[in-house]
Amino acid sequence: MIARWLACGGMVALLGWPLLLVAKELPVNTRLGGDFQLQSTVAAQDQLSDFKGRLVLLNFGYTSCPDVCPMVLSRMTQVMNALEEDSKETRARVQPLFVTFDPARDTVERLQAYLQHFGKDFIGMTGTPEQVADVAKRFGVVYLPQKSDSAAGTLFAHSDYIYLLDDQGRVRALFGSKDPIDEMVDAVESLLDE
Amino acid sequence: MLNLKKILSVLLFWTVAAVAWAGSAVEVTDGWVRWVPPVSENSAAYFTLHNPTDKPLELVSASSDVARAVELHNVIKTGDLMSMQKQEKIGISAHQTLQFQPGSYHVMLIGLKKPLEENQSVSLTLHFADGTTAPVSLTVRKDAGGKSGADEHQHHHHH
Repeated sequence: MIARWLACGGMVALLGWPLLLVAKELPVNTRLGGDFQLQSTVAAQDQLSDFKGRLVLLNFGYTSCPDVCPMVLSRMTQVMNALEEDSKETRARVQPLFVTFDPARDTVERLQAYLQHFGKDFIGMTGTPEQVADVAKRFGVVYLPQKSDSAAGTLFAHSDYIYLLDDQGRVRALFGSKDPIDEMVDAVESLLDE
Repeated sequence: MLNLKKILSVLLFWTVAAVAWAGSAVEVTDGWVRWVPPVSENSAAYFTLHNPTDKPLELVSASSDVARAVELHNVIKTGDLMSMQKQEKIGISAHQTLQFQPGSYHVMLIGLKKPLEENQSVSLTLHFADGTTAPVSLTVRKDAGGKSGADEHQHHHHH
Protein backbone atom coordinates (compact mmCIF):
# COMPACT_ATOMS: atom_id res chain seq x y z
CA MET A 1 0.00 0.00 0.00
CA ILE A 2 2.75 2.34 1.03
CA ALA A 3 4.76 1.31 -2.01
CA ARG A 4 1.76 2.07 -4.22
CA TRP A 5 1.27 5.43 -2.58
CA LEU A 6 4.95 6.25 -3.06
CA ALA A 7 4.81 5.17 -6.69
CA CYS A 8 1.78 7.38 -7.18
CA GLY A 9 3.52 10.32 -5.53
CA GLY A 10 6.54 9.67 -7.67
CA MET A 11 4.42 9.80 -10.82
CA VAL A 12 2.95 13.14 -9.77
CA ALA A 13 6.41 14.47 -9.02
CA LEU A 14 7.77 13.24 -12.32
CA LEU A 15 4.90 14.56 -14.41
CA GLY A 16 4.17 17.61 -12.34
CA TRP A 17 7.65 19.03 -12.26
CA PRO A 18 8.12 19.62 -16.01
CA LEU A 19 4.52 20.80 -16.27
CA LEU A 20 5.13 23.44 -13.64
CA LEU A 21 8.19 24.64 -15.50
CA VAL A 22 6.41 24.90 -18.83
CA ALA A 23 3.16 26.29 -17.55
CA LYS A 24 4.59 29.50 -16.09
CA GLU A 25 2.18 31.72 -17.92
CA LEU A 26 2.67 35.40 -18.48
CA PRO A 27 -0.77 37.02 -18.42
CA VAL A 28 -1.48 40.03 -20.61
CA ASN A 29 -1.25 43.23 -18.58
CA THR A 30 -4.31 45.18 -19.71
CA ARG A 31 -3.58 48.27 -17.60
CA LEU A 32 -0.29 49.19 -19.23
CA GLY A 33 0.90 49.82 -22.75
CA GLY A 34 -0.53 50.73 -26.13
CA ASP A 35 0.86 51.77 -29.48
CA PHE A 36 2.91 54.95 -29.79
CA GLN A 37 4.90 56.85 -32.39
CA LEU A 38 8.05 58.85 -31.65
CA GLN A 39 11.27 59.93 -33.34
CA SER A 40 13.39 56.84 -33.80
CA THR A 41 17.05 56.05 -34.40
CA VAL A 42 15.69 53.87 -37.23
CA ALA A 43 13.39 56.18 -39.16
CA ALA A 44 11.42 53.34 -40.76
CA GLN A 45 10.63 51.93 -37.32
CA ASP A 46 9.25 54.77 -35.26
CA GLN A 47 6.07 53.16 -34.02
CA LEU A 48 5.65 50.33 -31.53
CA SER A 49 3.35 48.52 -33.98
CA ASP A 50 6.23 48.44 -36.50
CA PHE A 51 7.65 45.63 -34.36
CA LYS A 52 4.52 43.46 -34.63
CA GLY A 53 5.42 39.81 -35.00
CA ARG A 54 8.45 40.24 -32.77
CA LEU A 55 8.84 40.58 -29.05
CA VAL A 56 10.04 43.88 -27.58
CA LEU A 57 12.21 44.50 -24.53
CA LEU A 58 11.37 48.08 -23.60
CA ASN A 59 13.08 50.35 -21.11
CA PHE A 60 12.84 54.04 -20.26
CA GLY A 61 15.81 56.14 -19.12
CA TYR A 62 18.24 58.90 -20.11
CA THR A 63 21.79 58.80 -21.44
CA SER A 64 23.26 61.24 -18.88
CA CYS A 65 22.30 58.78 -16.15
CA PRO A 66 25.55 57.59 -14.56
CA ASP A 67 24.39 54.55 -12.63
CA VAL A 68 20.92 53.05 -12.92
CA CYS A 69 20.18 53.41 -16.67
CA PRO A 70 23.45 51.94 -17.98
CA MET A 71 23.03 49.14 -15.45
CA VAL A 72 19.54 48.33 -16.76
CA LEU A 73 20.68 48.59 -20.39
CA SER A 74 23.54 46.22 -19.62
CA ARG A 75 20.97 43.79 -18.33
CA MET A 76 19.09 44.06 -21.64
CA THR A 77 22.40 43.40 -23.43
CA GLN A 78 22.88 40.29 -21.33
CA VAL A 79 19.43 38.98 -22.18
CA MET A 80 19.98 39.67 -25.90
CA ASN A 81 23.38 37.96 -25.82
CA ALA A 82 21.89 34.94 -24.06
CA LEU A 83 19.27 34.71 -26.83
CA GLU A 84 22.01 34.93 -29.44
CA GLU A 85 23.72 31.96 -27.81
CA ASP A 86 20.69 30.01 -28.96
CA SER A 87 20.87 31.45 -32.46
CA LYS A 88 21.09 34.73 -34.35
CA GLU A 89 17.53 34.12 -35.52
CA THR A 90 16.32 33.91 -31.93
CA ARG A 91 17.94 37.24 -31.16
CA ALA A 92 16.38 38.77 -34.27
CA ARG A 93 12.92 37.84 -32.98
CA VAL A 94 13.33 40.25 -30.07
CA GLN A 95 13.66 44.02 -30.42
CA PRO A 96 15.49 45.95 -27.67
CA LEU A 97 13.96 49.42 -27.39
CA PHE A 98 14.96 52.39 -25.24
CA VAL A 99 12.74 55.46 -24.81
CA THR A 100 14.28 58.55 -23.24
CA PHE A 101 12.38 60.77 -20.86
CA ASP A 102 15.06 63.44 -21.23
CA PRO A 103 14.33 64.71 -24.76
CA ALA A 104 16.01 68.05 -23.99
CA ARG A 105 19.40 66.31 -24.01
CA ASP A 106 18.70 63.03 -25.77
CA THR A 107 18.46 63.68 -29.49
CA VAL A 108 18.10 60.86 -32.03
CA GLU A 109 21.81 61.24 -32.86
CA ARG A 110 22.84 61.02 -29.23
CA LEU A 111 20.64 57.99 -28.64
CA GLN A 112 22.15 56.30 -31.69
CA ALA A 113 25.72 56.97 -30.52
CA TYR A 114 24.90 55.76 -27.02
CA LEU A 115 22.83 52.68 -27.74
CA GLN A 116 25.04 51.09 -30.39
CA HIS A 117 27.43 50.17 -27.58
CA PHE A 118 24.80 48.05 -25.89
CA GLY A 119 23.98 46.21 -29.13
CA LYS A 120 23.78 47.04 -32.83
CA ASP A 121 20.09 46.12 -32.83
CA PHE A 122 19.11 48.51 -30.01
CA ILE A 123 16.66 51.19 -31.14
CA GLY A 124 16.20 54.48 -29.31
CA MET A 125 13.24 56.84 -29.35
CA THR A 126 12.71 60.43 -28.30
CA GLY A 127 10.12 63.13 -28.99
CA THR A 128 8.65 66.29 -27.61
CA PRO A 129 8.40 66.43 -23.81
CA GLU A 130 4.63 65.98 -24.17
CA GLN A 131 4.93 62.94 -26.44
CA VAL A 132 7.46 61.29 -24.18
CA ALA A 133 5.36 62.04 -21.10
CA ASP A 134 2.32 60.48 -22.77
CA VAL A 135 4.16 57.25 -23.63
CA ALA A 136 5.72 57.05 -20.16
CA LYS A 137 2.31 57.50 -18.56
CA ARG A 138 0.83 54.67 -20.59
CA PHE A 139 3.50 52.33 -19.29
CA GLY A 140 3.27 53.58 -15.73
CA VAL A 141 6.77 55.03 -15.90
CA VAL A 142 7.46 57.69 -13.31
CA TYR A 143 10.26 60.20 -13.80
CA LEU A 144 10.85 63.36 -11.81
CA PRO A 145 13.64 65.88 -12.33
CA GLN A 146 15.40 66.13 -8.99
CA LYS A 147 16.28 69.31 -7.21
CA SER A 148 19.98 68.85 -6.61
CA ASP A 149 23.17 70.86 -6.51
CA SER A 150 24.96 68.09 -8.37
CA ALA A 151 27.39 69.15 -11.09
CA ALA A 152 25.71 66.54 -13.29
CA GLY A 153 22.83 68.95 -13.88
CA THR A 154 19.37 67.45 -14.09
CA LEU A 155 19.18 63.99 -12.60
CA PHE A 156 15.93 62.11 -12.61
CA ALA A 157 14.29 60.02 -9.96
CA HIS A 158 12.67 57.30 -12.00
CA SER A 159 11.29 53.78 -12.18
CA ASP A 160 13.54 51.32 -13.95
CA TYR A 161 11.46 48.39 -15.17
CA ILE A 162 12.21 46.43 -18.31
CA TYR A 163 8.94 45.64 -20.07
CA LEU A 164 8.54 42.46 -22.06
CA LEU A 165 6.00 42.93 -24.84
CA ASP A 166 4.62 40.08 -26.90
CA ASP A 167 4.37 39.94 -30.71
CA GLN A 168 1.16 41.97 -30.50
CA GLY A 169 2.83 44.73 -28.49
CA ARG A 170 1.01 43.77 -25.30
CA VAL A 171 2.77 44.02 -21.93
CA ARG A 172 3.41 40.51 -20.60
CA ALA A 173 6.03 41.00 -17.90
CA LEU A 174 7.91 43.67 -15.93
CA PHE A 175 11.39 43.05 -14.63
CA GLY A 176 13.05 44.94 -11.80
CA SER A 177 16.78 45.40 -11.42
CA LYS A 178 17.08 42.48 -9.00
CA ASP A 179 15.42 39.92 -11.27
CA PRO A 180 17.98 37.35 -12.41
CA ILE A 181 18.96 37.44 -16.09
CA ASP A 182 18.09 33.73 -16.39
CA GLU A 183 14.50 34.40 -15.40
CA MET A 184 14.22 37.16 -18.00
CA VAL A 185 15.63 34.90 -20.69
CA ASP A 186 13.20 32.14 -19.66
CA ALA A 187 10.28 34.56 -19.89
CA VAL A 188 11.35 35.75 -23.35
CA GLU A 189 11.78 32.17 -24.55
CA SER A 190 8.38 31.16 -23.20
CA LEU A 191 6.78 33.93 -25.27
CA LEU A 192 8.82 32.94 -28.33
CA ASP A 193 7.41 29.42 -27.96
CA GLU A 194 3.79 30.61 -27.81
CA MET B 1 70.54 78.69 -1.19
CA LEU B 2 68.63 77.38 -4.10
CA ASN B 3 69.71 73.88 -3.15
CA LEU B 4 68.50 74.28 0.41
CA LYS B 5 65.15 75.48 -0.84
CA LYS B 6 64.94 72.52 -3.15
CA ILE B 7 65.89 70.09 -0.40
CA LEU B 8 63.38 71.65 1.96
CA SER B 9 60.60 71.47 -0.61
CA VAL B 10 61.40 67.85 -1.37
CA LEU B 11 61.44 67.09 2.35
CA LEU B 12 58.16 68.91 2.81
CA PHE B 13 56.62 67.06 -0.10
CA TRP B 14 57.59 63.66 1.28
CA THR B 15 56.49 64.57 4.78
CA VAL B 16 53.06 65.61 3.52
CA ALA B 17 52.86 62.57 1.28
CA ALA B 18 53.88 60.27 4.11
CA VAL B 19 51.35 61.76 6.50
CA ALA B 20 48.59 61.47 3.93
CA TRP B 21 49.61 57.92 3.07
CA ALA B 22 49.92 56.82 6.67
CA GLY B 23 46.49 58.19 7.46
CA SER B 24 44.58 56.08 5.02
CA ALA B 25 43.70 53.11 7.17
CA VAL B 26 40.78 52.06 4.98
CA GLU B 27 41.01 49.07 2.71
CA VAL B 28 39.64 49.51 -0.77
CA THR B 29 39.09 46.37 -2.83
CA ASP B 30 37.19 45.19 -5.92
CA GLY B 31 37.27 48.65 -7.45
CA TRP B 32 36.07 49.36 -10.97
CA VAL B 33 34.79 52.20 -13.12
CA ARG B 34 31.82 51.70 -15.41
CA TRP B 35 32.71 51.92 -19.08
CA VAL B 36 30.16 54.18 -20.76
CA PRO B 37 29.69 55.01 -24.46
CA PRO B 38 31.90 57.97 -25.49
CA VAL B 39 28.81 60.14 -26.01
CA SER B 40 27.95 59.90 -22.32
CA GLU B 41 29.77 62.39 -20.12
CA ASN B 42 29.05 60.74 -16.79
CA SER B 43 30.12 57.51 -15.20
CA ALA B 44 30.52 55.96 -11.77
CA ALA B 45 33.18 54.24 -9.68
CA TYR B 46 32.47 51.28 -7.42
CA PHE B 47 34.48 49.47 -4.75
CA THR B 48 34.34 47.79 -1.38
CA LEU B 49 35.39 50.04 1.48
CA HIS B 50 36.47 48.50 4.75
CA ASN B 51 37.25 50.39 7.93
CA PRO B 52 39.60 48.13 9.93
CA THR B 53 40.03 50.67 12.74
CA ASP B 54 38.21 51.03 16.04
CA LYS B 55 37.01 54.48 15.09
CA PRO B 56 34.22 55.53 12.74
CA LEU B 57 35.33 57.20 9.52
CA GLU B 58 33.58 59.70 7.32
CA LEU B 59 34.16 59.78 3.59
CA VAL B 60 33.62 63.42 2.66
CA SER B 61 34.73 63.64 -0.96
CA ALA B 62 36.62 62.01 -3.79
CA SER B 63 38.77 63.45 -6.54
CA SER B 64 40.02 62.27 -9.90
CA ASP B 65 41.71 63.77 -12.93
CA VAL B 66 39.42 62.00 -15.40
CA ALA B 67 36.33 64.09 -14.63
CA ARG B 68 35.42 67.74 -14.19
CA ALA B 69 33.62 66.96 -10.95
CA VAL B 70 33.49 63.99 -8.61
CA GLU B 71 30.60 63.50 -6.20
CA LEU B 72 29.44 60.95 -3.67
CA HIS B 73 25.97 59.63 -4.43
CA ASN B 74 23.54 57.06 -3.23
CA VAL B 75 20.53 55.57 -4.98
CA ILE B 76 17.46 55.49 -2.79
CA LYS B 77 14.60 53.26 -3.83
CA THR B 78 11.19 54.50 -2.74
CA GLY B 79 8.51 52.21 -4.06
CA ASP B 80 9.28 51.97 -7.77
CA LEU B 81 11.23 55.20 -7.82
CA MET B 82 15.01 55.14 -7.93
CA SER B 83 16.41 58.53 -6.94
CA MET B 84 20.02 59.56 -6.94
CA GLN B 85 21.02 61.59 -3.94
CA LYS B 86 24.21 63.52 -3.52
CA GLN B 87 25.89 62.70 -0.22
CA GLU B 88 27.80 65.31 1.74
CA LYS B 89 29.43 62.51 3.69
CA ILE B 90 29.23 58.76 4.03
CA GLY B 91 29.91 57.27 7.44
CA ILE B 92 31.71 53.96 7.85
CA SER B 93 31.57 52.74 11.42
CA ALA B 94 34.39 50.85 13.09
CA HIS B 95 35.12 47.52 11.39
CA GLN B 96 32.29 48.09 8.90
CA THR B 97 32.45 47.14 5.24
CA LEU B 98 30.48 49.28 2.82
CA GLN B 99 29.74 48.25 -0.76
CA PHE B 100 29.78 50.89 -3.43
CA GLN B 101 27.85 49.22 -6.24
CA PRO B 102 25.36 49.86 -9.06
CA GLY B 103 22.00 50.97 -7.72
CA SER B 104 23.53 51.93 -4.37
CA TYR B 105 26.43 54.03 -3.11
CA HIS B 106 28.74 55.18 -5.89
CA VAL B 107 31.30 57.82 -6.71
CA MET B 108 29.91 59.81 -9.63
CA LEU B 109 32.37 60.95 -12.26
CA ILE B 110 30.78 63.97 -13.90
CA GLY B 111 31.97 65.51 -17.14
CA LEU B 112 34.52 62.98 -18.31
CA LYS B 113 37.41 64.85 -19.89
CA LYS B 114 38.08 62.02 -22.33
CA PRO B 115 36.02 58.96 -23.21
CA LEU B 116 36.87 56.03 -20.98
CA GLU B 117 38.56 53.05 -22.55
CA GLU B 118 38.10 49.50 -21.40
CA ASN B 119 40.90 48.30 -19.10
CA GLN B 120 42.07 51.87 -18.62
CA SER B 121 43.35 52.60 -15.12
CA VAL B 122 41.64 55.46 -13.30
CA SER B 123 43.18 57.09 -10.25
CA LEU B 124 40.77 58.16 -7.56
CA THR B 125 41.53 59.71 -4.20
CA LEU B 126 39.15 59.31 -1.31
CA HIS B 127 39.14 62.09 1.28
CA PHE B 128 38.07 61.51 4.85
CA ALA B 129 36.83 63.92 7.52
CA ASP B 130 39.93 63.40 9.65
CA GLY B 131 42.07 64.78 6.82
CA THR B 132 43.42 61.45 5.66
CA THR B 133 43.22 60.30 2.07
CA ALA B 134 43.25 56.98 0.29
CA PRO B 135 44.55 56.83 -3.28
CA VAL B 136 43.01 54.00 -5.27
CA SER B 137 43.50 52.72 -8.78
CA LEU B 138 40.42 51.39 -10.56
CA THR B 139 40.06 49.54 -13.85
CA VAL B 140 37.49 50.59 -16.42
CA ARG B 141 35.26 47.72 -17.44
CA LYS B 142 31.87 47.03 -18.90
CA ASP B 143 29.09 46.35 -16.47
CA ALA B 144 28.56 42.63 -16.01
CA GLY B 145 24.83 43.28 -15.85
CA GLY B 146 24.40 45.37 -12.79
CA LYS B 147 24.65 43.11 -9.83
CA SER B 148 27.91 41.41 -9.08
CA GLY B 149 27.92 37.68 -8.51
CA ALA B 150 28.46 38.21 -4.81
CA ASP B 151 25.44 40.45 -4.60
CA GLU B 152 23.23 37.91 -6.35
CA HIS B 153 24.20 35.43 -3.68
CA GLN B 154 23.43 37.84 -0.90
CA HIS B 155 19.99 38.75 -2.17
CA HIS B 156 18.20 35.63 -3.23
CA HIS B 157 15.31 36.34 -5.44
CA HIS B 158 11.80 35.62 -4.28
CA HIS B 159 8.55 35.66 -6.14
